[in-house]
Order: sequence, then C-alpha cells, then structure tokens
Amino acid sequence: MSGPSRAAQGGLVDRARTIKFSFDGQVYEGHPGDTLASALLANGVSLMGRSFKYHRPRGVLAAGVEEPNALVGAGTGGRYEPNTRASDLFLYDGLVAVSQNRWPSLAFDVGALNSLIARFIPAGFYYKTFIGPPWLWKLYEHVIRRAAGLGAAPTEPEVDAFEHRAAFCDVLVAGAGPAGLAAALAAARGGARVILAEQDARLGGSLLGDEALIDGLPALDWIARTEAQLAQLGARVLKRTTAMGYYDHNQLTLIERRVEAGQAPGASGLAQRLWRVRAGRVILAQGAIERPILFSNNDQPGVILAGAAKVYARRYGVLPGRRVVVATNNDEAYAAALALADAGCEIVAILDSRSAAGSAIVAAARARFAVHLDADLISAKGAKQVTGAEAVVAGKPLSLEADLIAASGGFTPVVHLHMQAGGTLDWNETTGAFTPAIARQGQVSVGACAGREGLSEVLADGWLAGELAAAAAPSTASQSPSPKGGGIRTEGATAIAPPSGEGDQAQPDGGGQPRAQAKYDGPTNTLAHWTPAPGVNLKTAFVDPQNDVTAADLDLAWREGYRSVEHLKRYTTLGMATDQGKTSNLIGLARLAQAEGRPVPEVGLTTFRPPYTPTTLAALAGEATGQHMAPLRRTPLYTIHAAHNPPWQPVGYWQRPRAYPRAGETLAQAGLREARSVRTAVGMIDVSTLGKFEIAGPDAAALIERVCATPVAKLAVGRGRYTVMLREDGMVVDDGTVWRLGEQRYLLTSSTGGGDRMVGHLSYVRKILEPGYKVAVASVQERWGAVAVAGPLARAALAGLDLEPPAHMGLVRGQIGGLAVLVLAASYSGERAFEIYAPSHDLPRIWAVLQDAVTAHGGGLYGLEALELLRIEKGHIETGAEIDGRHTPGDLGLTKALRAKGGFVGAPALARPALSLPDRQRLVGLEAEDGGAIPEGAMLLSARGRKPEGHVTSAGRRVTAKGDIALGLLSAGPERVGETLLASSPTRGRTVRVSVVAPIFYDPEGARYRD
Amino acid sequence: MIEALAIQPCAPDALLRLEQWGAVPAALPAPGRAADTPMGRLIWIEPGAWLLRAPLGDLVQATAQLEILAGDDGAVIDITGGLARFRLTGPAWRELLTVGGVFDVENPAFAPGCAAATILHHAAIWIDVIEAETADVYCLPSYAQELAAGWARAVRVSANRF
Repeated sequence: MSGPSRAAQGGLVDRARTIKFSFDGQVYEGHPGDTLASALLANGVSLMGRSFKYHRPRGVLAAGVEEPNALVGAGTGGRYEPNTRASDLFLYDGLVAVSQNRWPSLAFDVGALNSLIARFIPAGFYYKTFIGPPWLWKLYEHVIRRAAGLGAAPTEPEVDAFEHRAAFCDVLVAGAGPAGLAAALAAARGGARVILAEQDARLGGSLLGDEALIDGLPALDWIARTEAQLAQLGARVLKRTTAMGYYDHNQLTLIERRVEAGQAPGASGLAQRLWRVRAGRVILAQGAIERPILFSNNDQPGVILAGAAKVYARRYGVLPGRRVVVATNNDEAYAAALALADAGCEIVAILDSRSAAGSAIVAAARARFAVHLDADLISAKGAKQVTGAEAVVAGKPLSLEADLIAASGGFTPVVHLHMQAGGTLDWNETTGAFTPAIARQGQVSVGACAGREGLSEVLADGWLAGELAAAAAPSTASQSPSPKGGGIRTEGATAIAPPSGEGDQAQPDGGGQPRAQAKYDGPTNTLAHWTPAPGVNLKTAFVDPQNDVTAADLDLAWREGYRSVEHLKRYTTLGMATDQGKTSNLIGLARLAQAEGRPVPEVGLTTFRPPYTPTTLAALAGEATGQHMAPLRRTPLYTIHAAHNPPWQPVGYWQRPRAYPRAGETLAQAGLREARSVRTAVGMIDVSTLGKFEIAGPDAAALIERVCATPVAKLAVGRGRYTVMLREDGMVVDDGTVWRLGEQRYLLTSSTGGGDRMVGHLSYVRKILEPGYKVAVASVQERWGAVAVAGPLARAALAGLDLEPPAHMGLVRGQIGGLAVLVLAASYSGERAFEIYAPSHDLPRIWAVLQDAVTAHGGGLYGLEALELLRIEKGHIETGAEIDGRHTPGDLGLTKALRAKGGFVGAPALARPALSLPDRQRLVGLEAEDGGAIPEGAMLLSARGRKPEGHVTSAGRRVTAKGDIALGLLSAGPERVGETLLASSPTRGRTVRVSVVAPIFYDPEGARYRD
Repeated sequence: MIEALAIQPCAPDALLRLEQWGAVPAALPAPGRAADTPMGRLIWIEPGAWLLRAPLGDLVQATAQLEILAGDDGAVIDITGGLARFRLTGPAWRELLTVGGVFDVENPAFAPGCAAATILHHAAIWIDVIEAETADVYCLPSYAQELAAGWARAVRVSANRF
C-alpha cells in the first residue's frame, strides 16, 4: 500500500464520530477535528489543487494558514467562499468543497497544456504583451483575463450575519502556542486584562503535535489546564481568531470565525466577527513558518513540509505517505521523521544538507534510519504523485523509492504584525531568518516568531513577556515611544531566563513559569542552505508554487534588470498570491541576494500589509450591508411621510420625500403641481433637517459676527436676516438665517447638507479662533423639528390657528394645538412663508394641525422637487449646487450683503486679488432658447469644441409660466448677460442653447415676501 | 442570556445643556461622571459642557435652577427634543455596546456614575451608567430607530451571548 491514509490510531480527531463531506462531488468521511486536508489525506486523496499558470497538479504542502497549493471553494450559494485553504478548513458535516482552476476536472485539466508553452509565458510575460502593436493586446487581453484568478468569485449575495466589535485590554496575545499561552497566563496572573487570540480551533500551536511534558503534565493536559486558568482569571480567549492587522496606537483587527467557510451558522446567523482591539501591550506569539527546499518538481503531490507531515501524523492521525524521504537543513525535521516512524511510516532516508550534525535527536534518528549528511535533493520523481527522489550525497547520486518527501528548509519567523506596527528586523545569516529588532509600538515578539528555539526557551520567553506586560498595565501609554523616537528594543535574549532544559522541576500547582521536560529540547541548529544542488532543473524548482514562480523565473527577472525586490515581486508575481508568499518570499529574496552578490538584508524586504491571511469582504463590511450600508436618519415626520409612499431623496444620511405623487402622476408632474400650489395658494414641507444652532452668552453677538459675513449684530430681538458663512480661505461654506432670540441669544440656521459641516465650523471658530469668548454653542438641529408653510395664503392659514404670524424676517413664540412653537418668517420659495419650529417629539401633532389648515386653504404638501423648482426660479443658491466650496460671496452675487467693515472669518482672504479677478466663474441665470430641459451639470461653451467656461449648477423650469431655466456659474458671468451659449452634457448626450440672464427669474423685487 | 437584556426607549425628557467658559461650579460632575441632583440627572457630555435630564414638566424650574448654577460663567440652552434616550437593563448591556462601538465600555472602571461620549454604528451617543446592570444611552432622535434596529440585530445574531 502506498499514498496517504489514516493511521490505525492516534491523533486528536474524534474517531468515535464520523462526518460526511464532499470534494468535487465525491462523498468522503472524516472525523470531528479533521481539516479538509487531513480528511482528504485520510481518504487517500493527495491531489487537491492546480497551480495558477501551468495548472500543475498540487497536493497539500503545509498544515496551516501558509498553505499555497490546496485551495478549494467551500460551501454553496450565498455561503460559497473561494480560495479556502484545505489545511485551514475544519471539517463539518455536509461540507461541500470543490477544487479550483481546472477544467474539466481536477484529475484531467486541459489547462495543464500551458506547461507545454511554458517557455513562452515566463516571468513577466504579461508585461511583455504590452510590447508590440496595440491591436495585438486586444487578443492577449481576452485570453489573459479569462485565465486570471484561481477560485470563482461568489455570484450570490451573502446570507449570513457579520458584525464588528470593539474590545480593549491591557495585553493582547496573538497566538496560543507555548509562548503565547505562557505569556497570556503570566499577564493574567499579573492582573492584566488579557485577550488571547488563536487562529486555530484549538489552543496549543506546535504543542498539539508534541510529546513534551510541561510542569509534569502531557502537553495536551497542560494546554487544558492553562485554558481553564485563563478563564478563571477572566482572560478573553478567542479561538479561530486571526490577528489580521496591526495599526497605529496599538489597534489591531482580529477576525473571528464563528463557523467554518461555507458552514451555516446556528440560529444566531453570525458567521464571522471583526474585532477592533486596542491594547496596552501586544505580545506577538505567532510562531514560525517552515520553508520548502528548491529541487526539481518540488511541487509534486507528495512533497510536504516536514513539520506539516508531523502535524498530520500526530494531530490528525493521518499518514501523508508510507515511504518517506526527509530532506532538511535542521534538527527539527528529525522530530518529524521520528513522529512519522512512530505513526507507522517507513523512513527511507534522511537527507541532511549540513556536513555535520550531532545533536541528541540526530543521534536518535541515526539509530533508527539511514541519515545522510552533506546530502541534497535533486528531484522528485513521479507525475501526479511522488514515486521517489533523486539525491546527491557527498557528490554521489542516490536514488530512493518513496511516496512522500518531507522537506524542511529552515524557519521563517512570522514577523508580519511586528512589521505592520512599524518594527525593524535583524538578520540571522546562519539560520537565514529575519527576527524582530526594534518595536515602535507596544509590541514584543516572543517564541518562534522572535527566533527562539526549543520549548524551554520559548516558554520562558513568553512567560517573561507576559509578566513585563502585566507590570506595565495599565499605564502603558506613558511608555509608548514618540513617533520620531528610536523605538523600544524588544526584550532580547539577555532579558530571557536561560532555558530550563530537560529535568527542570515541574510546577505542579501551575503557579509559576511553566517548565518543559521535552525529550529533545533545544535549538533547531538550522544552517541556511539556499542554493539548489547542481543538477536541479530550475525551471521546475518552484519558489512560489501558487503563482508558479520558479527559481528560473527569478533569475530571468534579475537578468532583465529587476534588481529591486519590489520590482522583482511585481514582475514575477512572487508572493502576490493569496498566501502572500508565506513559504516563498524569503527563498526568493535569498535568490535575488545571491544574484546581486549582496547580503539578504541589503536587498530588502517587501512591505507587510494587512490582512495576515485572506479574509472575506463580508467580515470587513460587518453590519454595514443592504439597508444598513449607512445609517438612515429619520425626521420626526418620517412615519407620516412614509404613509404616502413617496419617492425618497437621500440627503446625506437623511431621507426626504421628493414629492407626493397622486395616482397616475409622474414625479415631475407631482413636483410641478406642488410648486404651483405654493405659488398660487399654500403648501407645507418638512424642513426639520435644516442645520440649527443656538448661541448664548455675553459674547454671543461677537461670535455671530465672526461666523456670519453679513451684518447681524444689530438685529433687534425677534428679528432675523439672511446670512452666509465663509471658510478662512474666503469661500462660502454655507448659508442660512440668523435670528436674535434674546439680548444674548441667537439662533443660526444652515442648510441640510451643510449642517454637520457647520457643527465642525462653529466648533473651530469657537474653540480655536476665539477660545476666550464667553459663549455657549449648541447644535439644536434635532431639538427643533420644523415645518415650512409657504404661499400667498400661508399667513391666512396660520392666522386661522389663533397664531399671529410675524412680518417677513420676524419671529414670534406661540402655540399650535396647545403645543409651544417658534415661528420664523423666512422664505426660500419666494413666497410669503413661515417656518414653524417645535420640539421634535411634538412635531407630528403640529404637522397634523397645520395640514388641516393648509388643506382648508386649498393647499397641500410639497417635497424637494417642488422646493427645487421654487428656489431656482427665485434665484436662491443651494449648498452642494452653487455653494460648492470653490466660490466667494462675490462669485455668488452676494457682495452687497457682506459686512463692509469685515471682521468675519474669511474676510482677510477676500482681499486677495485672485478672488476678485473679472473672469472668475460667477452666478448667472440661464434660459433655454429652443425649449427642452437644460441638463444639470452641463458644461457651458461658447461654441462646440471650445473650452468650458462654466457649468449648470441647478436646472428646472418656470413654475407657473413656460420655459426651462437654470442657474449656473460662468466665467465673468454677470457681464455676459444676453450672450447665447451651449449647455452641453456628454454624459447625458444632450446639448441645449441657452441665453445668459440675471439669476432671479421670479419676483426680483421681493414683493411677494411681504403682506 | 438574551432575556436578561431589556432595551427600552424612554419618554421625552426635559433636556438642558449647560456650557461653562469660566469657573466650573463644584456641584457639576467631574469629566466622565454623572450624578443625580435635586434638579435631575446631571451628566458631563464634553469638556465644559453638561446635560441636565429632568422630567418634562419640570423644564421651566430646571432651567431656572441651572441658570443660577451657571452664574456669569456659563449659559443654558434648552435642547429638549434634541436627544432620544434608551434605557438598557441587564448584565449584557456592556457587551451590546461593543457591537459597532469604539469605546472601552467593558472596563470595570466604567462603573455606575460614569459617563462617556462616543460613537456607535456611525452615530454619536452618550452613555450614562446608572447602575451595574443599567445604563442610559442618548442619541440624536433621527438615529434612534436605526440604532434600535441595529441593537435588535446584534441581539439576534449574538443570541447565545446576550
């Protein structure tokens, strides 16, 4: 028998229970605790995927998140998730998994023909397609786009729930291997609030495949005891939770998988949760990733990392092969060999590239297996499965029969988060590894990700970091380095207690630093060995197997001049696949360094960016999907409006009715009818969304004069005035009205769209520009709900409610329906109009009373469509249209309204000559000469093909007369009244001849405002 | 458990904002604190500003009392109707406010008598811890319905936790 299979016994899977799953339609059985990869291996399946470019057959290489080959699509319908690592997908009953990037089947993939044209599609071939006639690219493009991508994108909407949560802690520990567990326990014991995040479904990390004793307990028992102790100490332990990103101020994001990819959540429906964690200190304990070795056909199914083979044997009770060749440059692979042998494999040989190796574990292996020093793999034999290996031992060829090659090219500490946090690295030439050096935030790396080796040292490292972190809490902020500082040197080896080593005293009560009693404790004695042995075919020696980047590709790129690692990466796509080069980047870097003849650190590293592992877009979106994409702000009258089922207009987060169409009416017809009702009788509209601010105190008038560019300080109590507000650069930021409520109290209104911006503007003026003012400023936007009643019969409608309407720009307090109101006589429509303000919770009742009165006078409701027609005809500017942040009061025809003596924000800037140039774009009116609507946003041209001289800001039609009109901003606008221009909108495909006119089309004298 | 968390929209209150630009009266809660006073519940809401919540019928009286407290170094602005209030009751209220939140609401130091201004699901909120298992959350009324819907959703999807 050959190939992978389930071992007769062993592993942490629940052999008493069986669950069914399918892969490419074939139903298999596995056990709880299996990953898809382990279950497939247990079922004898070693072919799990196809590579990106050459469609080469691939098996599983790793046993964790670094897996580059065995990528599958998991789930169906709205739960389908592509590019899921089979080694990181825990089995569940009913799992449906499919292979990717193959046609018609995984076993027979036509795409594999690409291998035959490999010489034509080497590294960078994509870029070379740009060389040549452009028409040729059209041919390439079609083929290349079809070939791009591995898994198919989901086509159905996500069906499950995702949420974002905030969490805070003194100490966040990322990774729950031995170092992380020790760190978390020490920190929790020290009284710190601890969060421990582990990407695996179980705590323990490397201990899950280890036979070590800790504190006298088998590793699994120690893990269980530690987990219980953490719970008792109040630590938050998050399993299946990956630390994805490390941002400024010690903020990290974690993705918690509540269910596996494609799995239906329980009744809660929650599939994943994104945690935003702010931590005082961060302990990174993410371990190290084993590197492959470069030899011919090193991507064959049956070539596996030695550590992964050990995990499959010990943790999952699976034999990934029967006859095993182990290739290594370190001692750790010997542990894998021993584990595989104990599980029932035959170790054909251990090929050690080192010329000398004499540790205890090597000696133990020598007693059981053939161990060859100074030995290198040349090639893997076989087509779709390893059948043997060719090697060279001390210069002599050696041929071996095997169905599994377990390779270990050393270890790459996981420094991703450390680097995302702005850290620096040290280089270890001997082991060929970057390790964390300077930490610029509150992080410290411990255990294997800090380059520590040997269980005792790892435990001691983690424990000490946990103790230090707890001691620093909760005042860690004071220890944060300054942004420009040199950073904090990570606790180096000198700060670490010496390895306890075999025979240390156990801590039976678990009260102190955990002590390991491992049979083979100590360093891995890795001796980096980057150069493939002579005879290796570099064209099939894969550095990045997922993207099919070979050693030959890297060499070619270098020969073509790609000397920067950033350029090399992009040209060859090294490390740009879904695994982000976890197993490949350093090998590629080393090869570039060799070609350059420079040390690896001088060649440099590419940037480590979040996320650490692929994550779903749904997790990033969280709750913000569908109708919750953005919050919906409702006015106090929302329910009343909704009863009319109006078409809604989003205005910021607000929803406002565009109109109240009658049966058979179009939106335009409804808007025009409503506008005419205002012109001829009376209408009412919900204007609760207007920005409103109350300003009170001895310096209230002074603040108002700073904010408003019009004369306002001499307003009498009970009177109001139109005003505009400027930024410091002299541009209009908003307009509104200002009302004097009392001697030291004002009400300032602004536009709906600009309300939130005005909150910031007022705060800026109050707190930054005039911090000494004795004045209080409060946004009362939602304190006051508001209804505007407008039209020639508006006064009569209010008078019928026993309310004495004020004169234009007057203000009175009164009651409607027994409820207190504030009535402001101001008009946006051009008609006599009133704004009735009331506490928002009273507004629905007041609306009902007003509606009866308005209806009794022949009027009705109107929405934003009518409001727009009315204000355009009146020539009133609007924030977001004419007020676009680029125009001065002079541009908008408001020069005469400005306070001559200045003193307002923006006044000094208005003195700049550039803001008074005659050719500035200024407000004009536009009339369509030939009929037809003027396209909003259209360019204003003097003739076709000429440079745009302005644009149409708002467009509508006359309300009671005929004709289409618009407002626009036109270079030297007012001086060009009478000219004919073209209003051209390429996006709408319309061009209209327009006349330039004055911007007020209706009642320019303002007679209709007044009684 | 889910039944242990009650989310109750509250009837309108009289709400007054006090802003001090000079000396802060000793009767006002310290930053980050709230307290019951004879006028009503006084809550620090931002540097130099406090919120007084009183029964709606006590608006006039509360305004007068607060203006006396403000003296010449502060001003009172009536913002009644400007905030909606929810009362959260149950041990899971803290966890609920971590969903879509950014504030360390689970910190044991954020105890009864503490108050905070923060955001939740894009909306500004103010939290007033009344008792160990009771908190008031204030938000703009325009967001109230959306916030309640978000909470209902959070409770549903995390039913095994709340």
